[in-house]
Order: sequence, then structure tokens, then C-alpha cells
Amino acid sequence: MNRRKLRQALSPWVTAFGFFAIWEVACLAFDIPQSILPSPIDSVRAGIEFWPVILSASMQTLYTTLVGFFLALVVGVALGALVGSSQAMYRATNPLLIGFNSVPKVAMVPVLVMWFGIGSVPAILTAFLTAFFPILANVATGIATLEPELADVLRSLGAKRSVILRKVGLPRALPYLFASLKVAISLAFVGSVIAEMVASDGGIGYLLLTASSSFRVPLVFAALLVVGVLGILMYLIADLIERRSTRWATRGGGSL
Amino acid sequence: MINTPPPPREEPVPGGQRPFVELTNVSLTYGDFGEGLLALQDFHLSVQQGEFTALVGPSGCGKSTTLKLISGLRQPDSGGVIVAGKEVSKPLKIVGMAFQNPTLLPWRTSLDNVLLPLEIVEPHRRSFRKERARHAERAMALFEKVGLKDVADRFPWQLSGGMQQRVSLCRSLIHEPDLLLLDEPFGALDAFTREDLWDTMKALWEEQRFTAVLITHDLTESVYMAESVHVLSARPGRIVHSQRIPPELRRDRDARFSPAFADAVYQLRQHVGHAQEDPV
Ligand SMILES: Nc1ncnc2c1ncn2[C@@H]1O[C@H](COP(=O)(O)OP(=O)(O)OP(=O)(O)O)[C@@H](O)[C@H]1O
Ligand SMILES: [Mg+2]
Repeated sequence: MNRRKLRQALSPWVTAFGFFAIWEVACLAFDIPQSILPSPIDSVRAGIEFWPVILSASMQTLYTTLVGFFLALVVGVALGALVGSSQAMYRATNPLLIGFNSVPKVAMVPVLVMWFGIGSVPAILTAFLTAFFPILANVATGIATLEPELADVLRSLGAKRSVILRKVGLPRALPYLFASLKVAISLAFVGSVIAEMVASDGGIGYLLLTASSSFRVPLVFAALLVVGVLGILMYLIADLIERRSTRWATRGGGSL
Repeated sequence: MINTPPPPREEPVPGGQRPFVELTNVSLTYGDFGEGLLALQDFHLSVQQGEFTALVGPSGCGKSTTLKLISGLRQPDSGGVIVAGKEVSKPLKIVGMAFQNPTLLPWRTSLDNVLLPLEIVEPHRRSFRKERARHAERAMALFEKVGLKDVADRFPWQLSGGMQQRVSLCRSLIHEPDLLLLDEPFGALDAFTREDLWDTMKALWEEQRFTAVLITHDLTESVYMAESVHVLSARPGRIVHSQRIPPELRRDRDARFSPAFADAVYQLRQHVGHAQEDPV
């Protein structure tokens, strides 16, 4: 590995370390009380102290996030294929979808609680609702932007709509899909945590809520750190899958 | 302004046979309600079985539209389109097509791109998996003819533009179509590659004798490739001049530099000129 590559590989760690170092130093220098802004070390200490609670909360959140995300994946791809493969369908559904997307999903949590009660279900559904729109929109775009000449070539071979979709539309939409997965998984995560804060008896969101209402500020920050780390992890997994499966889309290169 | 006589409606038919492709009195308007755009009007064209025909004309005059009508991808507003003795009412299945843009699938190798039609078109479709090896062999034979033998396993983005266009031509021919429709397939290539591909295409045609309709902006190309060349007027397109090209002009590369060849091109050029000065 040459020096430039080494520097590139290290730079995110250096940035993160720098961020926490400044935070720590600021807390010490300005003598900020723990009850307002705990230093990173205090937060980590709280995290270690309460690790069983944090672990089970993380697992709960991870579970609702992933279930919601896979629901979003299935529904998003199916609806996206439907919307993207027909002009008429696109025209007919577009305003409704945009309207739906503009509704803040937090606003729907109370309704979900009304229907399903407190527990995992509202969190799963909130994750699903936040995540499925970008998937749908991207898959639809990928399919709808098929070159007309290519469609002509296939149609003049007697290909039916379903065949064109399978042979060309869906593979072509894959890069769009994977790009949306990175966004969608983060959104699902945010949706889950928010729903847990409003209506749940478990998960990181619930932990955040209870910790802050009992003024355990270091624990709040420990939970926030865990949220951040989990977010990065899920993003990385989505990113890895994307790069593995659609190498052709980047022409073997991979960066600008 | 037009001092040429209107084009003859029917080419002299050798052996009294019906033309393979016949468009009579065809009109087509794009878009609907009033503001529609009249692309073709009173359009006539006939192409004999096994004939190589070229269409030339100003940009936007309706050449690509003509191919869409012939292949059944669009239906005319009025008039008749007959291919292989049948009225065309839905996309035909005996057609191969190639465009200026190679339109290859980037996630498939050259070989798999060429095999695509066989996965779709009847009767190959049903037995494709079973017969894949045999099909691949045929594709390789085709690759060999067009000088692509070594790139079968490469992806389109690993090929030069000329190679991609060769792959695209192979794809249009793999299912042995009776009718090949070419929409400026050589248009985006550099001069040398284009000349190579002319010869490749001609060799394939001479061997298989499919019926071909070539759209081009290049008069030299039209004279060199086609047995008959039709000049279209500006939109709405009509054929304003048809010219048969004597075989000796198409014999080999050197023929392109003969005075007779230049004459033929010059004649065509004059009619294209008229088409552009005389928008109807
Ligand atoms: N799908 C479409 N909808 C509306 N108008 C169209 C459509 N396709 C073509 N046209 C119009 O019809 C006319 C003929 O188009 P066509 O593509 O047949 O031209 P062309 O002769 O192939 O031109 P070029 O040489 O530039 O490719 C043009 O004026 C074009 O703008
Ligand atoms: Mg065109």
C-alpha cells in the first residue's frame, strides 16, 4: 500500500477521532457539567456500565428496522416495477405518491398505535413507511428510463411487456435500487427510533426517552452514539452489496 | 420547383413476384388532437425479397418512422403496410434491428448480448437452455465473420465503439431474420471503422440474402451498400426520387473512387437538395 492509499484509508478515522477529541477537550476546558453535555469518555463509560440494557435495546431496534426495511424492499420493488413499466400507471399514481411522501411519518405513529397498540408493530410499520418511497421511486425511474430503441429491438422480437421487464427493465433498475437501499436503510432506522420514542416499550428510542426523562444524560449520549454506529454499519452493508452486485454500472471503475 | 417526375409507384417487379415490403398511401401523425405532427403522408415504398434498399433524406423527415411502420412497432393512421404478404398489425417477429446507438446490455458479455434474441423469439425461446451450446457456437461463427472472436467474453464497456456496433449487428442477425432494419448503424463511427463495417455487412448480406432496409445520412454509404436508393422529401416524408445502383459500383472499395460512383452520388445529392429546399 502506498502512502496515498494509506492516507485515504486512515482519513475517516482521523476525522472521527479529531471530532471526539475536540468534544472531549471542550468539555474539560469549559468545565461543562455532565448533565448538559457529557464528554465522550463519560458517555462511553455510561455505555459500558449499562451495556446489557443498551444491547437488548439495540437488538430490538435492529429487529424492527430490518423487518420494516425488508417489507419496504419487497413492496417498493413490486410497486416500482408496476409504476415504472407503464406511462399511464406513472401518470395516475405520481401525485398520490408525492402527497404520501410529503406526510411526515412521525405524524402517523399515533394512528398506528391506535390500530396496533404499543409495541414492535408501529415501529416496524413506521420503518416500512419511511423507507419504501425512495425504493419505489428509484426502481420506477430505473425501469422507465429504458432506452426506447432497446425496447423496440425487444418488441420487434415479439417480446411481451413482462419479458422486457424481466430481461432488461429489472436488471437495469438494479443500480438505482441499490443506490436507494443506502438511503432507505438509514430512513428505516430513523423511522424505527422515532416510533419507539413515541410509542414503544423497548428499543433504543425508548431507552433514549426514559434515560432523558430521568436525567441520565451520559446514558442518553451513549445511546445516541450507538444509534450513530449502527447507522454507519447498516450503510456500509448496503454499500458493500451495491458494489458487489452492480459492477457493470460503474464500468469496473467505481469512482469519479 | 421539383423538376423530377413523381416516383414510380411500383418498381418493375422481377418475375411478377409481390414485393416483400410494401407501403401504400401511408400517413402517420404523431400526437393527437389538432397539434399533431404529420410525419409521413401518401407514402409509398416497395422492397423486393432479398433486396438491399437505402432510404436517405433530411433529418426529421420520417425515416425512422418508416422503419417503425415496417416493423409493426407503430400502425399507420391510414394506408397499408404489407410485409411478407401479410398486413402488419402488430410487431413482427421476423425482424432484426440495429440503431446508431448499439443499445447493448452492460451486464451481459458480448456473447450473451448476441444470444438475447434467441431467449425471446419463438421457436428458439422454449428450447433456449437446452440448446444454448449450439446457439453459442453459431454466435461464435458470426463473431468470427465480423472479426470479434476474441471479445466474446468481454463486457460492452470494455469494447470500442466500433466493436460494440459489430456486436449489435450480430445481435440483429443471430435469429436469422428475414428482414433487417438498420437505422444509421454506421453513423457514429469513425471513417475507417465505418468502411470496414460496410464490407462486413455486405458480406453477410451476400451470404444470407435477407431483405434489408438501411437508413443513412451518408450518400456514399447508400450507393455502396444498396441496390436501390430512395430519397425522401422534408417532413411530411414522401419518396421524391428512386435510383437503382448498378452492381459494378458496389463491387469493391475501389469502385467508390470511380467516376460512375461519383455520378450516382451527385445525382442523389441533387434530389436531397430539392427535398430540403421544398418543405411542403
Ligand atoms: N414519438 C414521437 N412523438 C412525437 N413526434 C415524433 C416521435 N418520433 C418522431 N417524431 C417526429 O416525427 C418526425 C419524423 O421523425 P423520424 O424519427 O422518423 O425522423 P428521421 O427521418 O428518422 O430523422 P433523423 O434523420 O434525424 O433520424 C420528426 O419531426 C420527429 O420530431
Ligand atoms: Mg432517425
